[in-house]
Formats: sequence, C-alpha cells, structure tokens
Amino acid sequence: MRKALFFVLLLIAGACLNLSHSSGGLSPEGHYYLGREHAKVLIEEYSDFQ
Amino acid sequence: MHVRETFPKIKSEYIDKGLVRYQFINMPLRSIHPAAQKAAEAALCAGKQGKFWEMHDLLFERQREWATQVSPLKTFEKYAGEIMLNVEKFSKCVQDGETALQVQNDLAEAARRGVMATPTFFINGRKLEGAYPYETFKALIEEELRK
Repeated sequence: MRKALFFVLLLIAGACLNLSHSSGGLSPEGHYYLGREHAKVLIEEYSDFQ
Repeated sequence: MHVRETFPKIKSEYIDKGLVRYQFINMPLRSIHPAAQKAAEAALCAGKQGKFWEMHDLLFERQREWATQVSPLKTFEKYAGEIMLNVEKFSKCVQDGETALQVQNDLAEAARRGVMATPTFFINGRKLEGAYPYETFKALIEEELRK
C-alpha cells in the first residue's frame, strides 16, 4: 500500500515537472512566451507574420 | 525556414526541457507588408483567449492565403474558428484594434533595441539578425548554458 502511494506521488511530481517545462505565458511587457519563466537562456524573437 | 525547420528543434531540445524561454515580439514591417499589422493584432487577440501560439502557427503556415488580402479579417476569423476561439469576441477585438497599442509598444521596443530587420533574435541579449539554421542556435544556446 505504501509502495503504491509512493508511485502515485512520483507520477504526480513527474507530471508537475513536465507541465512546468512545457508551460508558457505572458510577460509583464505583454510578450507571449513558451518555456519556463526562469529558464537559464532567454531567446527573444522580433518578427512579423508576413 | 525558421518557423518550419529551426523552431521545432529548439522547442523539443531546449524549450520543452525547461532550458530555454522563448519570447515572441511583434515587429510588423508595415511599409512593405500591409497585412502584417492586423496579423500581429489578430495573434494578440487570440492570446487574449489563451491561444496566441496556435494563431501564431496558423498565420505563418498559411501566410500565402492572407498576405495579399486588402482586408484579411474574414480569413483570420476562419482561423479563429479552427482553433476553437470565440469568433465573435475575437472579431470584435481585431476590428476595434484592442491590441493595436501592444503592437505599437512592441515596435517601439524593437526600435529602442536597434532592430532593423525580421527576424532578429536576442539570445541572452546577444543579437542574431536573420534566419539561421538550428546548428547556429544550438551553439549559442549551449554556450549560454555552460556559463
């Protein structure tokens, strides 16, 4: 029973970690981004759609 | 080239692994691309409903369809429907120019940073002008990760 609970917790932790990695959002400057907010590398792309 | 070939590799190798944060800033070149301003506004309007990146992908994928249209709103509405947006809200947002100020702010920021052409990238502040193959990005990202 304890073992099963441990694995469930492990799965939840893994899912949370995965979610945080593939997340994204809107910066305070109004720019949409993909990835972790505090990732070590920031790539900024200036582009138009045309 | 960047959207179809380079970006998906950066995404799977670095963004999805939490190593890179990738930010998009609008820089519509209005003098040579007349529909680019409204496309930028449309992407931001989709963002208001949580689907900026879905609209971003569609706009790039189907560029040929809308780029020469005098008024591309109907086409953008069709895309909005495809990505399950509330089309009425989306349409009002684009027509009323609700996101025009944000595009203006993005343009001002680009000018402040000396961006003259698209695409231009900054990798932890290091400027890279033009579309480069994945290997160029990989080398620069790896260099930054080692610091």
